[in-house]
Amino acid sequence: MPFEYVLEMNHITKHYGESTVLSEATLQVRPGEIHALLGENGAGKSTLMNILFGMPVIHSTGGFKGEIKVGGDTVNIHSPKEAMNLGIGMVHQEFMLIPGFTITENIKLNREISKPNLISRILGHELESLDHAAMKRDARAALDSVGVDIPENTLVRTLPVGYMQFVEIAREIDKTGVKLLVFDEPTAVLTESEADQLIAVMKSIAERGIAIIFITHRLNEVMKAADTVTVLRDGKLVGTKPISQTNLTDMAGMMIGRGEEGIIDTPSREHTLSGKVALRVRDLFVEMPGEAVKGLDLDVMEGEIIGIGGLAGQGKVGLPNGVMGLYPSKGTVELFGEELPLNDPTTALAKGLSMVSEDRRGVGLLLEESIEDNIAFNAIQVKREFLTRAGFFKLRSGRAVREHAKEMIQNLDIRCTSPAQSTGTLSGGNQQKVCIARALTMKPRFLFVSEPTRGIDIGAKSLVLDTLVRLNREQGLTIVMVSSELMELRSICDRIVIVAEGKVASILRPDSPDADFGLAMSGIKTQEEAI
Amino acid sequence: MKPKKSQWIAAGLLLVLALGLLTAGVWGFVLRGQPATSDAMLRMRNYAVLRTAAGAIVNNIYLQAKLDARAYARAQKFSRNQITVYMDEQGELARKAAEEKYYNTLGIDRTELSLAVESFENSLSEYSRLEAAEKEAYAEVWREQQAALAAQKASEETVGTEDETISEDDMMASTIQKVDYSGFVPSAELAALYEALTPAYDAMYTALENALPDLEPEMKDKLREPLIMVVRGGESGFNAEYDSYAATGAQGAFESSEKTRMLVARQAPNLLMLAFGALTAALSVLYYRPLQRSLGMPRLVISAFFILLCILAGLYNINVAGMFSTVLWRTGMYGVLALAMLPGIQAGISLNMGMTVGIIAGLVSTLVALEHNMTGWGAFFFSVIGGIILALPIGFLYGKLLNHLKGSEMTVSTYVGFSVVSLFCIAWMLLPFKNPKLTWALGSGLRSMHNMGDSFGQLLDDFLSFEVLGVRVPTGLLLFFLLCCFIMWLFSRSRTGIAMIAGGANSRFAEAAGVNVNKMRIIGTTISTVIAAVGIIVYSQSFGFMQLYNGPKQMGFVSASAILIGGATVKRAKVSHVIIGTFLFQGVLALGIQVANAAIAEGGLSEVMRILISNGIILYALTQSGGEGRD
Repeated sequence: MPFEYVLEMNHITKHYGESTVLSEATLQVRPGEIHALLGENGAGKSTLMNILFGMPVIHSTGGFKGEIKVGGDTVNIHSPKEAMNLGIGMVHQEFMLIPGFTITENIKLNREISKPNLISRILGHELESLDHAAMKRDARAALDSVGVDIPENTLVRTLPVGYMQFVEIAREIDKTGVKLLVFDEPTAVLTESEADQLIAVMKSIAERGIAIIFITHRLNEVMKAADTVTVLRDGKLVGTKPISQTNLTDMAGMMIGRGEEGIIDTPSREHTLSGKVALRVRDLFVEMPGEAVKGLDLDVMEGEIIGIGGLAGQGKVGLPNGVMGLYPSKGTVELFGEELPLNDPTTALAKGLSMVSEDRRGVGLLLEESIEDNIAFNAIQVKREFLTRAGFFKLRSGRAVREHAKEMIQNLDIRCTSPAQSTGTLSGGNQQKVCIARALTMKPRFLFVSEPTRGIDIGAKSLVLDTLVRLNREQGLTIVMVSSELMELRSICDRIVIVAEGKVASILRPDSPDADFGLAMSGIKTQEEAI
Repeated sequence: MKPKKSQWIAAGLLLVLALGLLTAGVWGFVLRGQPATSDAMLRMRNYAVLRTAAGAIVNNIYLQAKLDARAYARAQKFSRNQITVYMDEQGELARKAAEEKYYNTLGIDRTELSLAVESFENSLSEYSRLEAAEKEAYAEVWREQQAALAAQKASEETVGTEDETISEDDMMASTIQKVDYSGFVPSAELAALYEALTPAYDAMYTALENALPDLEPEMKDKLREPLIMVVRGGESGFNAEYDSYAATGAQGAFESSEKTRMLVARQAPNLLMLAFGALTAALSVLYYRPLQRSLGMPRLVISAFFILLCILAGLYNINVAGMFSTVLWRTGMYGVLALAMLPGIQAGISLNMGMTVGIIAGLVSTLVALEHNMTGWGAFFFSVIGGIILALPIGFLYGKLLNHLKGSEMTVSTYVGFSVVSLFCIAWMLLPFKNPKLTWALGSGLRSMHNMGDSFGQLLDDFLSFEVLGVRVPTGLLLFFLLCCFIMWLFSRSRTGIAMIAGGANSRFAEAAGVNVNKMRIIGTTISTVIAAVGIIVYSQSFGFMQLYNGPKQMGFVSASAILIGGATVKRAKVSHVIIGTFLFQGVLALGIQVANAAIAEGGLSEVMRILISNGIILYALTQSGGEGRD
C-alpha cells in the first residue's frame, strides 16, 4: 500500500502535571526527506521525540493524546526497543559509544553476527562464536556510506570528537530496515567543516530513501540541508513549509514571534539614564561547564535593566557567574570605573555586586534553613551585619535578623507562615523572592538576576518581574537579567543582549523585529546593530 | 492536620482500655487497704505455714515408702532396674495418698496456730531487718570485688586480643548479676537475734504439731529455715508477701471471687503501668502525624521502644530508680563524645569516624597527668587543657587530609579512625611512661586498663550530685555536658559557625557568599577532634577506668549512632540532636540490657540479647544516615 508519509504524529498533546508541554502538535515526514524540526528551548521538540521513542518518562507521567502512524499503520510505541523494531533510529546528542571498544564492536553492539561452534551446538546459540569477518564487512560498508575512511578496528577512544558522531550514524544505518533517523542537534559539537560533511552524509542517507528528522537551532544549516521545516513554539505547531518557500528571516520569525503583549506593564522611565558605564566587561572567558563564555565584551549603563538572552548552552548564564567569581574566569571587569578582581566572590559582594543565581535550589538557598537565616546570610558573612557582641564573641542577633526578615517579607510580599519557616517548603516564586531579598540585604549597587522565573508559575513570574522593575525605578538599581524567556526580557529590559557561542551576537531593542532575535540566537549577526 | 476517623476510633478503644486498667489498678490498691484483704492474707499465711509443714510430712512419707519398697524389692531379689522402677512407683503412690491426706488443711482448726504465727512473725521482724542490712552491705562489697576482679583480669591479659578491655556494658552486666551469698558470715549481733527466735518458733511449732499430729519432732530443725522464709514474706510489702504465700499454692484455698480480688490487689501496680502504656499508645495514635512531623519517624520508633522498655522494666520488678540513675549516668558519660560528631556533620565531612585521633590526644594528656600522680580537679583540668592543646594541631592536619579527599570522607575517616587506634597500640608500648602504676608489672609499655579511682575517677559524677526519689543525679557530669553543648550552640550562632554550617549544608551556596569552604571544613574537623579529646576524658573519669589499645575503637560508631538517633542526618545536625540522641540511645541500651537480663534468666542468652540490642540500635541508626533529611 503506497503511503505519503513514513511518519505521522497527529494532534499530539502532552501534560506534565499542570503544565502543557505539547498541544495538538503535528509532524509529518515523507520518505527520503530531511525534515528540520525547529524551536526554542522548551518549545516541545524533545518531548515530541520522547513520545516517538516511547520513553518511560512519557508513560510514567500519564501518557499522551494523539496518534502515531509509521508507514501508514497506526502504532503504539511503549519502549525505545519497539521504536527500533519499527525502523526508527536515533543519533544522540551525547555519544552513546563505549570508548574501549573498536568501531566495529560499537556498531555491532548487541546485534553481533555469530556462527555456530562445537560448544554452541551442545549448549545453545548463546555460546556461538563471533563472525568477525562478517561484522567487519558490515561495519566497513556502514562507514563508507557515511564517508569515513578510518579503519573499522580503531578504538573509539582514540577518535576525534567529530568522528564519534559519524560512528553513531554508521551504527544506525547498519541496522536493517531503518526507515527514519532522528538527529538530535548533531552539529552542536562539530567544527564547521565536520558539520558540512555531516550534512553531506545526511543527504546521501536521504537519497537511499531513509527519512531524517533534523533537530537543530542553527538556521543556516536548516537552509543548507533540509527539504521541509516544521516549527514548534510553546508546544504548538507554528507551521510546516517546504524549504523553498521560506528564508532565514521567516523561520526566525516563526520561532520567536510572540505577539505584542508583554507579561507585565512596565512603567516608562521618568529620568533619562546618565549614560555612565556601570560595568565594563572586556574579553571575558568563563569556564562554566555547559555555559562557557569565550571572549565576551559588554558595557552596562548605570540605571538600566539589561537583558541577556540566547539559547541554552551558549554562555549567557556564564556571564554573571563569571563576574561574581563562582566559576574560574579571566579577562578584565570594571565596576563603576574600578577594576574588579575576578575569581573572588567576597570582593565582588563587598563592592556592591549581588547576584540571584539561576540554580535556586542548588546555589541560591539553604533549603533546610529558615527564611530569615537565608536572607541574612550574605550580610553576616560579607558585611558583618546582624551581629551583637556577647563577651569575646560576636553572635548572630536573632532580633535584628527577625526584624529585617519581616521587613523584607512585607516589601517583597513573600507568602510564608513565619520568618522561621524553612525555605524548602516555600513555592518556587517565594523561594525566588527570598533569593532577591538576600541580594537586596547586601544593599547592592548592581544586581545580576539569572533566570529569575525558571520553574515558577505565571502569576509568580509577573510578581518577580514587577519587583525587579520597581527596584530599578525606585532605587535606581542597575540590573542585568539573564533569561531564556525572550518575552520576559522584552517586557522589562531597556536593551537585550543575545549571547551565542560564548560571545555577544547582537544587542537589540525590546521592540526589534522577532526575526532579528531568532537570527541572533542562531549566531547570525544582523546588519543593524541596535542602539 | 486533623486526626482521621480511624485514628479516633483506635485511640478511643485504647483510651477505654487504659481507663479500664486504671480503674482495676486503683481498685486493687483500694482493696489492699480493706480488712477483708488483710484477713484473706492472714488465711493465706496460715495456709502457707500448714502447707509447708505438711509438705515436710509428705516428703517424709514418700522417702519412707521408697525405703520400704527397696527393702521389699531386695528381699524379692528384683533386678537393679526393677528395683528403681518399683521404688518410684511405690514412692509416687505413697505421696499421692499422703498429699490427699495432709494437703487438705481446711478442716483444721487454726485459731491457736494463727496466734503463734503472729507472734513468731513479730519476733522475726527485727532479725529480718538486720539481716537485710547486713546482706546489702555484703552485696555491695561483693559487687565491687567482682568489678575489680574483672578489671584486673582484663589488665593482666595480653595486648592484642580482641576483647582485652572490658566495656561498660560488661561492667553493668556484672552489677546486675546475682550476688553469691555463699561467703556471707552473719555478725555476732545477728547470730544472737537468730538464737532469740527459738522460743517463738518453739511455740509456733507446738501449735503446728497440734494442728498436724503426724508431725514428728525431728522435723523441727529441718522446717525452721523454710518456715522463716514463708513467714518473713510479710516484711517486704504486699507483692512479696502474696508471692511468697502463693508459691505454696495458698490462693487455691480461696473461692473464685476472692481469688480474683486478691489477684487484682496483687497486680495493682502492674495494671497502673499497663494503663499508662495504653494511654501513651492512645495519645500517640491520635497525635501520630504531628509527632511524626516534628520528631521524625526514627525518634518516634525509638521513643516508643523506650517507653515499652520502661513498662516492661516495671512488670519485671526492675528497680526503676536505679535504672534511671544508670540512664542519666550513661547520658553524661557518652554525651560529650557524641557532641564531637556535631561540628563534623555541620562542616560537611559527615560522620567523623576518625574522632579517635582526638580520643588519642585526650588519652595521652590524661596519661601525662597520671604519670605525675596528679589528683582531683587539678588533674582533670590539666588533662582537658592538655588534650585540647594536643588535639588542635592533630585536628588541623586531619582536616587538611579530608580536604584532599573530598567526597569519600566516611570511608577515609573510618579508615583513619581504625588505623590510628592500631598505630597507637604500638605507641602505647613504646611511649616513655615510667610510673609503675601505669606500666606492665613485667617489661615496659602501658597497661591496657587504668583505674581512675585514685586520680580523678567519678570527680564530675560526684560533684554536687544528689538523689531524688532514689534516682542519683550526676550533677557535675550533666552540667559539664550541657556546658559543652552550650558552647557549641553559641558557636553555631557566630559568624564563623553560621558560615561553617552553610558550607556543610550547601557548599556552593556558601562559596557564592565568599565563604572559604575548605577553611570551614578544617575548622569543623579541628573542633570535632578537640571535643573528642575532652569527651574521652569525661568518659574515662565517669567510667572509672581508662582504656588504651583497642578500647577507643568503637567510640566512633557509638557516637554516630547517638547523634543519628537524635534526628541528625549526615548533612545536618543540631545540638538538640546530640542531647536527645544520647539520652534515647543510652536509655534504650541500658534499659534493654536490664530487661533482657530479667526476661531471659539464662546467662548466655541475656549476653546474646545485650549484643543484639546494642548493635541493633547502631544498625538502625546507620540506616537513618542515608536520608536527605526532611524536605
